[in-house]
Amino acid sequence: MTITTEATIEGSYELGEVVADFELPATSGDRLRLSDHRGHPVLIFFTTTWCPYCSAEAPFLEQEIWQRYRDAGLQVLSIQVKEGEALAASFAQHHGWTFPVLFDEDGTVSGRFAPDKEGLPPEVAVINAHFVLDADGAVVYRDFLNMERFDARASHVRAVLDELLGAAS
Amino acid sequence: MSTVNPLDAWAPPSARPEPHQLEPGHRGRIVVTIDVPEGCHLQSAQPAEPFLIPTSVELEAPDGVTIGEAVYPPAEHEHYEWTPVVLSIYRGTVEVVVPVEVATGVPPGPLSIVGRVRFQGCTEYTCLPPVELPVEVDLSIVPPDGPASS
Repeated sequence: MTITTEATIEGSYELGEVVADFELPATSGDRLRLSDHRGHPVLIFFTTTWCPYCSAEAPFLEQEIWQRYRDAGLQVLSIQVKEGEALAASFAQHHGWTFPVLFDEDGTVSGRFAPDKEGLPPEVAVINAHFVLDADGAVVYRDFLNMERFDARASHVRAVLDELLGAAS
Repeated sequence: MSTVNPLDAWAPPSARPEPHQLEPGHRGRIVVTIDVPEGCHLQSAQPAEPFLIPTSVELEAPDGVTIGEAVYPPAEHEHYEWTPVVLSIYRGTVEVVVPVEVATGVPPGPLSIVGRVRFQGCTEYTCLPPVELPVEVDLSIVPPDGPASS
Protein backbone atom coordinates (compact mmCIF):
# COMPACT_ATOMS: atom_id res chain seq x y z
CA MET A 1 0.00 0.00 0.00
CA THR A 2 1.34 3.43 -0.93
CA ILE A 3 -0.45 6.21 0.86
CA THR A 4 1.20 9.30 -0.51
CA THR A 5 2.40 10.30 -3.94
CA GLU A 6 5.16 12.72 -4.76
CA ALA A 7 7.67 13.61 -7.41
CA THR A 8 10.73 11.42 -7.67
CA ILE A 9 13.52 12.32 -5.32
CA GLU A 10 16.85 10.99 -6.43
CA GLY A 11 19.13 9.06 -4.17
CA SER A 12 16.71 7.68 -1.64
CA TYR A 13 14.26 4.85 -1.30
CA GLU A 14 11.23 5.40 -3.49
CA LEU A 15 7.68 5.04 -2.33
CA GLY A 16 6.75 1.40 -2.61
CA GLU A 17 10.35 0.24 -2.52
CA VAL A 18 11.25 -2.36 0.08
CA VAL A 19 14.03 -1.14 2.34
CA ALA A 20 17.07 -3.40 2.46
CA ASP A 21 17.64 -4.99 5.81
CA PHE A 22 20.21 -3.46 8.11
CA GLU A 23 21.61 -4.06 11.54
CA LEU A 24 22.80 -1.36 13.90
CA PRO A 25 23.79 -1.16 17.55
CA ALA A 26 21.29 0.36 19.94
CA THR A 27 21.84 2.39 23.07
CA SER A 28 20.18 -0.47 24.95
CA GLY A 29 23.28 -2.54 24.23
CA ASP A 30 21.51 -4.77 21.73
CA ARG A 31 22.04 -4.94 18.01
CA LEU A 32 18.76 -4.48 16.16
CA ARG A 33 17.83 -5.54 12.67
CA LEU A 34 15.12 -3.90 10.64
CA SER A 35 13.85 -7.35 9.72
CA ASP A 36 13.21 -8.01 13.42
CA HIS A 37 10.14 -5.85 12.94
CA ARG A 38 8.72 -7.40 9.79
CA GLY A 39 5.00 -7.81 10.19
CA HIS A 40 4.71 -4.43 11.86
CA PRO A 41 4.74 -0.91 10.48
CA VAL A 42 7.93 0.93 11.29
CA LEU A 43 8.72 4.63 11.54
CA ILE A 44 12.39 5.41 11.03
CA PHE A 45 13.51 8.86 12.12
CA PHE A 46 17.00 10.13 11.32
CA THR A 47 18.54 12.51 13.79
CA THR A 48 21.73 13.87 15.26
CA THR A 49 22.28 15.33 18.68
CA TRP A 50 23.28 18.73 17.24
CA CYS A 51 20.21 19.02 15.01
CA PRO A 52 17.88 21.73 16.36
CA TYR A 53 15.03 20.54 14.15
CA CYS A 54 15.34 17.10 15.67
CA SER A 55 15.26 18.53 19.18
CA ALA A 56 12.18 20.54 18.31
CA GLU A 57 10.42 17.42 17.13
CA ALA A 58 11.69 15.10 19.84
CA PRO A 59 8.74 15.50 22.26
CA PHE A 60 6.27 14.87 19.44
CA LEU A 61 7.98 11.66 18.46
CA GLU A 62 7.64 10.31 21.95
CA GLN A 63 4.21 11.62 22.86
CA GLU A 64 2.33 12.00 19.58
CA ILE A 65 3.80 9.07 17.69
CA TRP A 66 5.31 6.40 19.89
CA GLN A 67 2.96 6.60 22.86
CA ARG A 68 -0.05 7.00 20.60
CA TYR A 69 0.64 4.12 18.19
CA ARG A 70 2.83 1.62 19.96
CA ASP A 71 -0.09 -0.44 21.20
CA ALA A 72 -1.43 -0.54 17.66
CA GLY A 73 1.73 -2.27 16.54
CA LEU A 74 3.93 0.58 15.37
CA GLN A 75 7.66 0.30 15.94
CA VAL A 76 9.64 3.55 16.08
CA LEU A 77 13.36 3.39 15.35
CA SER A 78 15.46 6.49 15.77
CA ILE A 79 18.79 6.41 13.99
CA GLN A 80 21.50 8.74 15.23
CA VAL A 81 23.54 9.63 12.17
CA LYS A 82 27.32 9.61 12.63
CA GLU A 83 26.99 9.76 16.39
CA GLY A 84 28.45 7.51 19.05
CA GLU A 85 26.67 5.60 21.75
CA ALA A 86 27.25 8.00 24.63
CA LEU A 87 25.88 11.09 22.91
CA ALA A 88 23.01 9.14 21.37
CA ALA A 89 22.03 7.78 24.77
CA SER A 90 22.33 11.17 26.44
CA PHE A 91 20.15 12.80 23.78
CA ALA A 92 17.50 10.11 24.13
CA GLN A 93 17.51 10.42 27.89
CA HIS A 94 17.24 14.21 27.72
CA HIS A 95 14.15 13.96 25.53
CA GLY A 96 12.61 11.08 27.43
CA TRP A 97 12.62 8.74 24.46
CA THR A 98 11.52 5.23 25.29
CA PHE A 99 11.67 3.78 21.77
CA PRO A 100 14.85 2.16 20.43
CA VAL A 101 17.69 4.49 19.55
CA LEU A 102 20.21 3.11 17.07
CA PHE A 103 23.49 4.74 16.25
CA ASP A 104 25.05 4.68 12.82
CA GLU A 105 28.58 5.80 13.54
CA ASP A 106 29.93 5.71 10.01
CA GLY A 107 26.69 6.81 8.36
CA THR A 108 26.59 3.89 5.94
CA VAL A 109 23.03 2.80 6.65
CA SER A 110 21.76 6.38 6.85
CA GLY A 111 23.34 7.18 3.51
CA ARG A 112 21.08 4.67 1.75
CA PHE A 113 18.08 6.76 2.78
CA ALA A 114 19.60 10.13 1.88
CA PRO A 115 18.26 12.20 -1.00
CA ASP A 116 20.53 14.07 -3.37
CA LYS A 117 20.43 17.56 -1.95
CA GLU A 118 22.46 20.39 -3.38
CA GLY A 119 25.79 18.78 -2.77
CA LEU A 120 25.16 18.06 0.87
CA PRO A 121 26.83 14.90 2.13
CA PRO A 122 24.34 12.08 2.66
CA GLU A 123 24.66 12.18 6.42
CA VAL A 124 23.48 15.78 6.40
CA ALA A 125 20.83 15.40 3.72
CA VAL A 126 19.06 12.63 5.62
CA ILE A 127 18.83 14.40 8.97
CA ASN A 128 15.31 14.89 10.25
CA ALA A 129 13.87 12.59 7.60
CA HIS A 130 10.96 10.27 8.37
CA PHE A 131 10.30 6.98 6.64
CA VAL A 132 7.17 4.98 7.34
CA LEU A 133 7.38 1.36 6.25
CA ASP A 134 4.48 -1.01 6.01
CA ALA A 135 4.46 -4.49 7.53
CA ASP A 136 6.34 -5.79 4.48
CA GLY A 137 9.10 -3.21 4.82
CA ALA A 138 8.00 -1.09 1.85
CA VAL A 139 8.14 2.70 2.04
CA VAL A 140 4.65 4.18 2.28
CA TYR A 141 5.66 7.67 3.37
CA ARG A 142 8.80 9.70 3.55
CA ASP A 143 9.66 13.30 4.11
CA PHE A 144 12.82 15.31 4.42
CA LEU A 145 13.77 18.45 6.26
CA ASN A 146 11.77 21.25 4.70
CA MET A 147 11.36 23.98 7.33
CA GLU A 148 7.73 23.13 7.86
CA ARG A 149 6.69 23.41 11.48
CA PHE A 150 7.64 20.30 13.38
CA ASP A 151 4.11 19.82 14.66
CA ALA A 152 2.73 20.04 11.12
CA ARG A 153 5.21 17.44 9.95
CA ALA A 154 4.27 15.20 12.83
CA SER A 155 0.63 15.57 11.88
CA HIS A 156 1.45 14.36 8.36
CA VAL A 157 3.10 11.28 9.85
CA ARG A 158 0.15 10.72 12.12
CA ALA A 159 -2.26 10.88 9.17
CA VAL A 160 -0.24 8.15 7.46
CA LEU A 161 -0.16 6.03 10.58
CA ASP A 162 -3.89 6.48 11.14
CA GLU A 163 -4.53 5.09 7.68
CA LEU A 164 -1.92 2.37 7.94
CA LEU A 165 -3.03 1.19 11.33
CA GLY A 166 -6.72 1.58 10.69
CA ALA A 167 -7.12 4.75 12.74
CA ALA A 168 -6.07 2.79 15.77
CA SER A 169 -5.13 5.98 17.56
CA MET B 1 17.00 25.63 -1.22
CA SER B 2 20.38 27.25 -1.41
CA THR B 3 22.09 27.03 -4.78
CA VAL B 4 25.50 26.92 -3.13
CA ASN B 5 26.87 23.95 -1.29
CA PRO B 6 26.94 25.48 2.19
CA LEU B 7 29.87 23.32 3.19
CA ASP B 8 31.98 25.09 0.58
CA ALA B 9 31.01 28.57 1.69
CA TRP B 10 32.85 28.67 5.01
CA ALA B 11 36.22 30.34 4.98
CA PRO B 12 38.75 29.24 7.59
CA PRO B 13 38.80 31.47 10.67
CA SER B 14 41.57 34.03 10.90
CA ALA B 15 43.34 35.66 13.83
CA ARG B 16 45.28 38.86 14.40
CA PRO B 17 47.21 40.19 17.38
CA GLU B 18 46.44 43.58 18.85
CA PRO B 19 48.93 45.12 19.02
CA HIS B 20 51.10 43.22 16.59
CA GLN B 21 54.16 43.77 18.79
CA LEU B 22 54.27 43.18 22.52
CA GLU B 23 56.90 43.81 25.12
CA PRO B 24 57.58 41.24 27.83
CA GLY B 25 55.43 42.01 30.83
CA HIS B 26 52.68 43.55 28.71
CA ARG B 27 49.19 42.52 27.75
CA GLY B 28 47.50 42.34 24.39
CA ARG B 29 44.78 40.37 22.77
CA ILE B 30 44.17 37.97 19.93
CA VAL B 31 41.12 38.66 17.81
CA VAL B 32 39.80 35.52 16.14
CA THR B 33 37.45 36.22 13.26
CA ILE B 34 34.87 33.91 11.74
CA ASP B 35 33.20 35.23 8.61
CA VAL B 36 29.74 33.72 8.42
CA PRO B 37 28.49 33.56 4.83
CA GLU B 38 25.41 35.50 3.85
CA GLY B 39 22.26 33.58 4.74
CA CYS B 40 24.04 31.41 7.28
CA HIS B 41 24.48 31.57 11.02
CA LEU B 42 26.35 29.90 13.86
CA GLN B 43 25.08 28.74 17.20
CA SER B 44 26.38 31.30 19.66
CA ALA B 45 28.80 30.67 22.51
CA GLN B 46 25.74 29.96 24.65
CA PRO B 47 23.27 28.06 22.48
CA ALA B 48 19.61 28.07 23.38
CA GLU B 49 19.42 24.31 23.83
CA PRO B 50 21.55 21.50 25.14
CA PHE B 51 23.39 19.49 22.48
CA LEU B 52 23.71 22.41 20.08
CA ILE B 53 27.39 23.12 19.58
CA PRO B 54 28.59 26.41 21.04
CA THR B 55 31.03 28.58 19.13
CA SER B 56 34.31 28.27 20.98
CA VAL B 57 37.90 29.40 20.61
CA GLU B 58 40.74 27.68 22.43
CA LEU B 59 44.30 28.94 22.11
CA GLU B 60 47.33 27.06 23.39
CA ALA B 61 49.68 29.07 25.55
CA PRO B 62 53.34 28.85 24.50
CA ASP B 63 55.97 29.11 27.22
CA GLY B 64 55.91 32.52 28.82
CA VAL B 65 52.45 33.48 27.58
CA THR B 66 49.26 33.47 29.57
CA ILE B 67 46.03 33.01 27.64
CA GLY B 68 42.96 34.64 29.17
CA GLU B 69 39.34 33.68 28.93
CA ALA B 70 37.81 34.25 25.53
CA VAL B 71 35.24 37.03 25.27
CA TYR B 72 32.47 36.27 22.81
CA PRO B 73 30.28 38.84 21.09
CA PRO B 74 26.65 39.33 22.06
CA ALA B 75 24.35 36.88 20.34
CA GLU B 76 21.35 37.60 18.20
CA HIS B 77 18.15 35.94 19.28
CA GLU B 78 15.96 34.68 16.48
CA HIS B 79 12.68 32.89 16.36
CA TYR B 80 12.05 30.40 13.61
CA GLU B 81 8.70 29.05 12.58
CA TRP B 82 9.70 25.43 13.09
CA THR B 83 10.60 25.65 16.77
CA PRO B 84 9.22 27.31 19.88
CA VAL B 85 12.78 27.87 21.10
CA VAL B 86 14.32 31.28 20.47
CA LEU B 87 17.74 30.42 19.08
CA SER B 88 20.92 32.21 20.11
CA ILE B 89 23.06 32.76 17.02
CA TYR B 90 25.79 34.75 15.33
CA ARG B 91 25.64 36.22 11.85
CA GLY B 92 28.08 38.19 9.77
CA THR B 93 31.58 38.79 11.08
CA VAL B 94 32.07 37.15 14.47
CA GLU B 95 35.04 38.40 16.49
CA VAL B 96 36.16 36.55 19.59
CA VAL B 97 38.69 38.37 21.74
CA VAL B 98 41.24 36.41 23.73
CA PRO B 99 43.48 38.31 26.19
CA VAL B 100 47.16 37.41 26.24
CA GLU B 101 49.95 38.42 28.57
CA VAL B 102 53.64 38.01 27.85
CA ALA B 103 55.83 37.21 30.84
CA THR B 104 58.79 39.43 31.62
CA GLY B 105 61.37 36.79 30.80
CA VAL B 106 60.25 36.06 27.25
CA PRO B 107 63.04 36.84 24.79
CA PRO B 108 62.40 39.13 21.81
CA GLY B 109 61.53 37.48 18.53
CA PRO B 110 58.58 35.90 16.73
CA LEU B 111 56.08 33.90 18.72
CA SER B 112 53.40 31.70 17.23
CA ILE B 113 50.16 30.90 19.02
CA VAL B 114 47.99 28.09 17.68
CA GLY B 115 44.52 27.01 18.61
CA ARG B 116 41.19 25.67 17.49
CA VAL B 117 37.87 27.18 16.57
CA ARG B 118 34.81 25.02 16.90
CA PHE B 119 31.34 25.93 15.72
CA GLN B 120 28.13 24.62 14.25
CA GLY B 121 26.96 26.41 11.15
CA CYS B 122 23.49 26.48 9.73
CA THR B 123 21.87 27.81 6.60
CA GLU B 124 18.25 28.91 6.52
CA TYR B 125 17.43 25.40 5.34
CA THR B 126 19.60 23.00 7.26
CA CYS B 127 22.24 22.73 9.92
CA LEU B 128 25.69 21.44 9.17
CA PRO B 129 27.86 19.13 11.21
CA PRO B 130 30.04 20.77 13.83
CA VAL B 131 33.52 21.62 12.62
CA GLU B 132 36.80 22.21 14.41
CA LEU B 133 39.28 24.30 12.46
CA PRO B 134 42.84 25.29 13.28
CA VAL B 135 43.84 28.89 13.78
CA GLU B 136 47.30 30.41 14.13
CA VAL B 137 48.56 33.88 14.88
CA ASP B 138 52.06 35.32 14.92
CA LEU B 139 53.11 37.74 17.62
CA SER B 140 56.28 39.75 17.63
CA ILE B 141 57.95 40.12 21.01
CA VAL B 142 60.03 43.25 21.11
CA PRO B 143 62.53 44.48 23.70
CA PRO B 144 61.23 46.81 26.41
CA ASP B 145 60.67 50.28 24.97
CA GLY B 146 60.78 48.69 21.52
CA PRO B 147 58.68 49.98 18.60
CA ALA B 148 54.89 50.08 18.87
CA SER B 149 54.81 48.80 22.43
CA SER B 150 51.42 48.46 24.12
